[in-house]
Amino acid sequence: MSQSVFTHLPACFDGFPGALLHLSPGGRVIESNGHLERELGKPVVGERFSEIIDAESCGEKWDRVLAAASSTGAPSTCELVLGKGETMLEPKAFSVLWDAESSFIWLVQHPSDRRMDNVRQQVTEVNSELASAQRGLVRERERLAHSLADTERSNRALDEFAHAISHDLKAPLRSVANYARRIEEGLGAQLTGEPRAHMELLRTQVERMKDGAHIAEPNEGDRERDRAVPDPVASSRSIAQRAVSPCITI
Amino acid sequence: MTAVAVVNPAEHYGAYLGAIRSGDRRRAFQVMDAARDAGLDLAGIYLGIFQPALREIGCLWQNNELTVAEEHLATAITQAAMARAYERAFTWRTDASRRLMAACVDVERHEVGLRMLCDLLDLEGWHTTYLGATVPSESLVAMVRRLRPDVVALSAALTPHLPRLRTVIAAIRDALGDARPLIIVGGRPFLDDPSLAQRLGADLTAQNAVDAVRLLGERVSRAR
Repeated sequence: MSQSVFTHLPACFDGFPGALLHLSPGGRVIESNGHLERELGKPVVGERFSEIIDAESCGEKWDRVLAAASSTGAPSTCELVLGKGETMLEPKAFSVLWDAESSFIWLVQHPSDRRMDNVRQQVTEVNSELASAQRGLVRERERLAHSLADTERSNRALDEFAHAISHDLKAPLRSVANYARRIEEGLGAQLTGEPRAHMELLRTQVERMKDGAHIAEPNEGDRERDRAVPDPVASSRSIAQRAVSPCITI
Repeated sequence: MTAVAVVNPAEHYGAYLGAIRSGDRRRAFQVMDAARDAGLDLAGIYLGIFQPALREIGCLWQNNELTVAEEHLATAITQAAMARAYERAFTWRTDASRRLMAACVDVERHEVGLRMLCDLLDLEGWHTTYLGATVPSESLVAMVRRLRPDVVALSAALTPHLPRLRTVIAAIRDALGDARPLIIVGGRPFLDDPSLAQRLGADLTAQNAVDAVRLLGERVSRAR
């Protein structure tokens, strides 16, 4: 059993917020200040440090750092991922220091500020949400452009329909009006009371429908207004109202 | 006959890597825009520039040449560059009938690969829903129940996360039975050993996002 190397440290290191490890030149943990044990939930003294870290991502990295520390004795810094069962801990930064007798290696974790860790985590999450929101906006913008093109096509079709209807209505309405007039003239004084009132109402309604037929053709002002408010339901209702409002209320 | 110029992503890769390595967002965007102007499509930009650049960033971290902070910055720049490239490539499709839901399993934070898959599927006329990184298993299964996608894409970039992936796949199978969606998995461990996918209970894995788009196109019919 090696002597407790931590007794050689100043007292202030008792409260050091990061891990302090004392390793053999081969990388085996001789002493620990208990920080990693608490975090990993398992003992680390006696273990090779390479078995504590995630070998897949950091194995070769640690080997290189250890070899450099052993050969040059120069201090270096590295970030390593520690393994905790099925969970990977966030990478931790360590300074690797060679002791004065060149027989031990000190591994000193850079203390991290939980507040900064939280901020970094939040920034990462906000970045991810921003990336999702950007894509959502792109999709919605494209969908709206597509809907607008559809609406404009529908409005053009409605305009054409209204134009055709107005022309198709004029001829039969003119015939109805002419026949009504001939009946009134033919019957002359025989047409009295309620029948005469019905005939007058018929002519009046026909005249109103004839007036309405040309109103059913939307003018340029109407089209501009429809373009400004690209609502297919509203546009359809507007055209329908122009076509029939002189005759009936909808 | 008009000659079509073949664009080599490698011409832009080095410049892009240099930009994200130095944390130069503007330069990274310029390189990406130049690649696109040269005729490279979204898949070419993703697989020919972004993916190898991020892998190299990971290698540089492993070589102790970059810090985690620098690596995160490079990833954040690439996320922004991807959104920029996506915006320029996306066109609305009215025939988007196939649905995919994507998520990184609980504690998994490497999400760029899944983003690439979702973006490329969007362009192919899929309707994709990306849930994000580190999605808790219960939430993920609840979303699968609610959205009933044709495909669930799950990512685990690190080997220690594979048991969680297996648990999530089993939970989806238990929750939906025969009506369960097709499950595709991806991440570094599956590149090294594709047979892992089947052993974990998934239906498919792919070597990259373009490969995944092709495989899913073959497996999921357009009319559903």
